Amino acid sequence: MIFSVKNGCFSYKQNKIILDDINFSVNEAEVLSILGSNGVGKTTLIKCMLGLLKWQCGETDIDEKNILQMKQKEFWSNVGYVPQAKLNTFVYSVEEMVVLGRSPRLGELQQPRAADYEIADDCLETLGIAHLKNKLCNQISGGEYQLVLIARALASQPKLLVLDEPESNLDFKNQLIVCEAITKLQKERHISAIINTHFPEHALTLSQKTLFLLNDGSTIYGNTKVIVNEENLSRAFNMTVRMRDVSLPEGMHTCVIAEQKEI
Amino acid sequence: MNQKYSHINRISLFIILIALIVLPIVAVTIGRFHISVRQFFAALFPAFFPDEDVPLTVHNVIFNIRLPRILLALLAGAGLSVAGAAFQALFSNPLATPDTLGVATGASFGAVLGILFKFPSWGIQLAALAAGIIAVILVYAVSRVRGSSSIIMIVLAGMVIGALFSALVSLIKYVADPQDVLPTITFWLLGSLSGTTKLTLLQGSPFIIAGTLLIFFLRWKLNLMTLNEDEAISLGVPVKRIRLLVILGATMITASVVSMCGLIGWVGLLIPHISRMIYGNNNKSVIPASIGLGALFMLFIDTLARSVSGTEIPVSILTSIIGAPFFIILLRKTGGIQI
Repeated sequence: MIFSVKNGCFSYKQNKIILDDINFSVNEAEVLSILGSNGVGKTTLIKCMLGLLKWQCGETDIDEKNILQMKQKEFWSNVGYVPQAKLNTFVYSVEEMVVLGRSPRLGELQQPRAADYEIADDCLETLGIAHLKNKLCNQISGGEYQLVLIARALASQPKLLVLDEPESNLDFKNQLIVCEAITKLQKERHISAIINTHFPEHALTLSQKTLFLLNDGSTIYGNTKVIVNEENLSRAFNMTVRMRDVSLPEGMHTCVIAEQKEI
Repeated sequence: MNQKYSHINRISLFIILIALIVLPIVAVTIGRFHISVRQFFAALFPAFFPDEDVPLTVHNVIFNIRLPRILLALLAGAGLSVAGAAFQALFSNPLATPDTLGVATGASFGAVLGILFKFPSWGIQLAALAAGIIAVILVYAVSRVRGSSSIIMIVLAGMVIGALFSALVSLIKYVADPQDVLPTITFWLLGSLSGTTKLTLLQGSPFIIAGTLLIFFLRWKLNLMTLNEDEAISLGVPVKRIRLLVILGATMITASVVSMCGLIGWVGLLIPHISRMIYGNNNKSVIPASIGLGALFMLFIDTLARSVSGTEIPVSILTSIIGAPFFIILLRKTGGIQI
């Protein structure tokens, strides 16, 4: 499945354009990172590409077909959306929460059956949190809850996951767990992903492609290894950024260091 | 689902079901006019009891007075509870009640207007039903901004329209004749099932049954409706349509209940929360449990209302006096609501 955005633009108010001429495409088993500073419109971009907000020009296509011409259920069975982790007013058990993800594949009045619960359990198993299935969502840690939301998106058996800052609000270790889960899904199940992230290092380790959103509404798009460099990072975050390769026993790792001073 | 957990669920739902069959029969025999269980069955199935001669008055009391009233109590309790549970899920707010969108207030305005103009009882019922539905249509119209209604706008509009109708009710009370019309209005607003006849039941119950069934069939989707709107859409839920259907169902129930029995407070808040304390937040269990427990609770309250003293006790007074302590005990025992 190829997911692409062509000439997308969007603004909340007439005079201030947030997104201007956005173009990118994600192939099968490919990961795209979206990098940009706070308030630049990353979440807006995600909402637009998923049709939750309407593009003012341009379109989102799946396999060259405009998603506006697809049935909602068809679209959402192919694309799983993982929102920022916020607890709900009414908390459910982990398994009940994940089985909600079966909804795009069920009829309007249909209830999940045993087979749907099995798929939900499978998704929990894949993410290594099967032991949590009978816990309530407010009894688990933030990192575990984020994994539950990923499992819920997986339950509709999508070909693409769209994740909105999946590692924000998580500590060091939990960030790693979430990142590893995304890589695992890509390698083992050929699921592609689009990730909003605050961390350039995550973009480097996770993704093949990167899209920078800049403050003036323009974008830089390309191969992660090529475009995630000191110059572009400095431009995107409006400060001096340095990148250094560190040799570790596990292999090479690229560190991204920010200087405080503005440029 | 956890096997053990679902097992307990099934057993307790089964117990509720048995109670729903047995307790109404017991309730028929309770009251100032004595009726035995044997007489009741003889009246119901004369073919099986050839030797039992049921007097006409007994027949009359069973079929024209007690049975319609008991059926209405069951329906009203089930309906109000399920409407409350549905609104709590829809607005993802544990404080929502069947009257959150002003349906009950609107319906009581219709009824009070009917009483003022001395409508016959079926006319009062129709006026209440119509006014309740008009209130919700107004709420929906007010809440539409740029072609769509957000949940917060719907709830706010509901509060405003509710306040408006409640002021209109006060206005009618103010102008009503204090000798004769005002006491009728006041008693009506406190809620009572004493006016139930076969006719009112036949007029009102289809709405309650249809609304309850609608919500019952959407019960799993209600879990998705408690998520925020974008999340629900991303799980393939046609949010606007489901929202409209749930509001439609709850409105039919509430307007119809109020048109038959006046304002009955508390049930729509109390019973869903009791169900949640027992079964957790999953609406797959909360909705059927609310239907069963709501019906039983109302049956209990109404049986008390008509048999405890020489005169009828208004239902709203009893729902609060009995409901509040019961709720407090449950809160203490279960350690509160898991929300």
